[in-house]
Amino acid sequence: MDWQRLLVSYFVGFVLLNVLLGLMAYMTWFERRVLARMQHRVGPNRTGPFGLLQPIADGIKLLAKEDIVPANADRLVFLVAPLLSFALAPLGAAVIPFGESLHLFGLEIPLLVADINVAVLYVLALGSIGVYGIILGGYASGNRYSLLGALRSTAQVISYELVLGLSLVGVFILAGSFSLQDILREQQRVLVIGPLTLPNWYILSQPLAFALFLIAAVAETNRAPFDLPEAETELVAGYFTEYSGFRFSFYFLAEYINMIVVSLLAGTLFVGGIDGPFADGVWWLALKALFFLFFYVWLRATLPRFRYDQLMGLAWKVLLPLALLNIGLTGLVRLWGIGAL
Amino acid sequence: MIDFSQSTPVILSEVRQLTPTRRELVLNMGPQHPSTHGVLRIRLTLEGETVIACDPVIGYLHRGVEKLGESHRYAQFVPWTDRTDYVAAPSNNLGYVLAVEKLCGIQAPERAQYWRMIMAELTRLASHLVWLGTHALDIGALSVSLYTFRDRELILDIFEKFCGARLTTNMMEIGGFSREIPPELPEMVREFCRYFPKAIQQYEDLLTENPIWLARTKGVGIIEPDVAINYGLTGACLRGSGVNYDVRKAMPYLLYDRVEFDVPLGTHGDVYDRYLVRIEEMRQSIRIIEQCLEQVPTDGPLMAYESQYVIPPHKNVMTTAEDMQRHFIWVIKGFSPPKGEVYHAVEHSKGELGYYIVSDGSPIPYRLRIRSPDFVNLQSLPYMAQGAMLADIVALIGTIDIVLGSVDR
Amino acid sequence: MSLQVLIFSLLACVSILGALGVVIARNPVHSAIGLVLSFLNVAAIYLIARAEFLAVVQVIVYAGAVIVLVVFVTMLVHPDDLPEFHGRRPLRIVTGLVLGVALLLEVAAAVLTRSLSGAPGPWTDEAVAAVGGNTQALGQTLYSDYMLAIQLTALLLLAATIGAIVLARPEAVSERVAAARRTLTISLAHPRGLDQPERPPALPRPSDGQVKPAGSGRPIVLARSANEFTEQPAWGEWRTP
Repeated sequence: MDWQRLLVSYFVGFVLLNVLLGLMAYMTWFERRVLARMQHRVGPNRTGPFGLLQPIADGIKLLAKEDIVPANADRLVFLVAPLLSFALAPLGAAVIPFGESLHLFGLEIPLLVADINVAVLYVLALGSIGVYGIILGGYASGNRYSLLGALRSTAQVISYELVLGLSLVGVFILAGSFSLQDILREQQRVLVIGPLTLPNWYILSQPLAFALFLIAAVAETNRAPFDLPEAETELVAGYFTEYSGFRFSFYFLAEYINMIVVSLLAGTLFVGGIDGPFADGVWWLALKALFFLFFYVWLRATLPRFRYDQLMGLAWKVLLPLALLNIGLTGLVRLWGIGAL
Repeated sequence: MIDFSQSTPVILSEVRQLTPTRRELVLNMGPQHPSTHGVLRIRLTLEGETVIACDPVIGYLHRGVEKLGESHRYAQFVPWTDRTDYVAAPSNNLGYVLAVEKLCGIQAPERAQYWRMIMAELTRLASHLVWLGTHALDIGALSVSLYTFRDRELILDIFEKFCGARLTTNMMEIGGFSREIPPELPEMVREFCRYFPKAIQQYEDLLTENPIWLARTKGVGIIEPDVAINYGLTGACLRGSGVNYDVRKAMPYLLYDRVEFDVPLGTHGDVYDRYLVRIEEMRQSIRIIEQCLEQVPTDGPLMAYESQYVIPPHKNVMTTAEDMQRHFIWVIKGFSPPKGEVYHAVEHSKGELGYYIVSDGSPIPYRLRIRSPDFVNLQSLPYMAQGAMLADIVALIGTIDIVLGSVDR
Repeated sequence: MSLQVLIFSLLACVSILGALGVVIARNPVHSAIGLVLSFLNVAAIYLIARAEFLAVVQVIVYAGAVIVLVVFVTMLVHPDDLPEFHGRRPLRIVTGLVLGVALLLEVAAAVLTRSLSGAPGPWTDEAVAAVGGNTQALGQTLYSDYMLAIQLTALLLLAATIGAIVLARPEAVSERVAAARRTLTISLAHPRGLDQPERPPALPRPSDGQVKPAGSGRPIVLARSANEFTEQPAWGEWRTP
């Protein structure tokens, strides 16, 4: 029985991984099309209908390119670093619940790869190891731009991980658990305030935490306006300046997978995940994630880039105190307020 | 006035001798780098991300344009001026042509002068649009660059309608214009003037009050007025520091004294002020173009008729013997201006663009010197860069608004 | 059960290999990579012991923050400035060996007494399940029985933070930058430094239409002729003819 469950889990994980890889490819298409629309351009439209085959063409092109290792690179580290980034990126999706269990062929198939009781912390931990792909890649390239990109990335990820983690503490306090299943279950309750009937989504009870999470998540995934590690106008391409071919594409793909995972996480933690006004299901989560992904692209089209010191100042002087304030307030409410409600 | 006796000269050699200590990193930015606007190379000494020393290295696009000028006949050099500051070609033409006209003592007819002004102001707009787009792109605002290039296309369309070329226009001729103005051109320009203020508003909506833009530009790259004067800065770099100097006002050429416009001056001298000044300059340019379109006579000669220096009209060449002979001489041998030397400056989109010509009475200049504004303005980069962050460097290069073709010549 | 032992052995072996790598590698970054490897395997061992919270915290704190900082510093420091780790100094080798053996003995003693005495702690499987899991149990223990210790640790960390901030005040940078600046400054009339506040806006006093609000509280002055505002000795003192 145990073996069976394990196999089912592996199967679900396999399917999820492939769906994620396909989604990621089309995320690049989505970003390019939306960005083009925002900039009075057309975007990719030559390869297949609406340019839908463009990601595949890009993929083939990148895979076929020469894999160049610079002469003064730290060879082994240089070769392994992008794999590290790429391999860690999709793991976060393993703990996101995509719905109730399915019953097929007499088997119970959970729409969740691993039900870990510290799921959210697990995602944070993945993020903190994921930064090694960037640091080591930047260090091993033997290029000063790469080194600067890696240094920036290190400082940025450490600072924003703190904000990311602390912004979630309010949710943990309200839900009383680190498990995404519990957090989701808690959000499916209905909140009745006077004449209003609202879902108990944490975006309503934790708006500050939601805003902080969103900002920190953008920084954590190295996206505009926090894309300093790869700021192309200053550092050429930051930590992956020296990479080419499929190793370059690994960094690229890792970034997009991270975006998708963070969007799914935001959808699950703050806006009820699979919960919708009618016909609950994975499509609601997909819709919410799509909105967050659109938000990413929107930011990139609109905002200039922060400067390094401003970025750090924002994290430590603004976001961190706000996150602490949020924790304090939530704690007080939890201590005295729950009884009153 | 500023007390210059209090000033000490710049000692650039000392800057170069700042050898990096162990805590510092020397970063070679360029000549192949996405945001050095061409082939500028900057040798940066960094401590962490703070710039300790900044040493621009130029010359990667040096083509010896000044020397070429000393081996071409006067009229042959006009296309070469296109290729110095290639994003604002007509203004370069204008500077050179006006210098030669001053040397020969001729003047283009009123109608041609108005059209020269219109084209020069359109050039200023086109150049400022390239500046705004790349400057915003350097600071990370991706979309603005596409909007500005979209609107620049309209100006290039006008150029194309006017002279057939879009980038290196070779538009101005010594003595005026030898071809008639296309009849639909005034309406095209008017249409553009109606449209463009909305476009400026669009850029401003994206940038002017954007907190990140403010954080990246306010208080960055401050040049005090006296420092700006001492460096010999001109254009928006000087006016951003609050010094009132605009060649169009100070030494009016063409018919700039007949149109009303204001010269915007900054109050803090930082990157943001130079941004505001250039944005306001675009508005003032539209004002100038509109007034020119009102005042320009609808017909009349476009070319000066000076027997020695100007190419004769095509019709006369075909019908009269004298003009046919003069045309032959003009084309084969060139014209010989009087002996002497002359300097003429115009307000280019980047600052004071001056042409200095020494004539020995032969059809070829004895010496030709271009005072290109970006070359002079670029010298303020080390001053602004010291103590700035690495990311500020791209903002500072952008705010100077350099075109390497003009810096290196 | 045998599977668990197998996995544990594998993890333990890789962890020890990583630790060896830390000591043997000549490149400090490679050492750090070895240490991360070791830490990750230890985290996995925690997972086998069903201490998920501990495992995740191990990854976040040690692999994700401490070693990242180590790598950060290593990359910043010039390779020549690093101390020589691999010199053949007999005293160091002996000290290292003695300390290492002592540590090994301590750990062995602790493990042996624990497994020999075999006395179960208060947190039996049933007790853990009763409060809702390992994580909850850990939280309850830490924040009730060890409250004082937690507070003291927090105080210690706070002191360390303050100390770090005091140490890292950016004086060293600004001195050198200021020195470099002095070389470049042309006019002595307006010396400038890093810490000078933004100067107050300087505006022409008369004339109404000549000051135009441009953006973010910043005005733009519109000069109508070349003779205006030409005699300004310094910032803030605008004169009109």
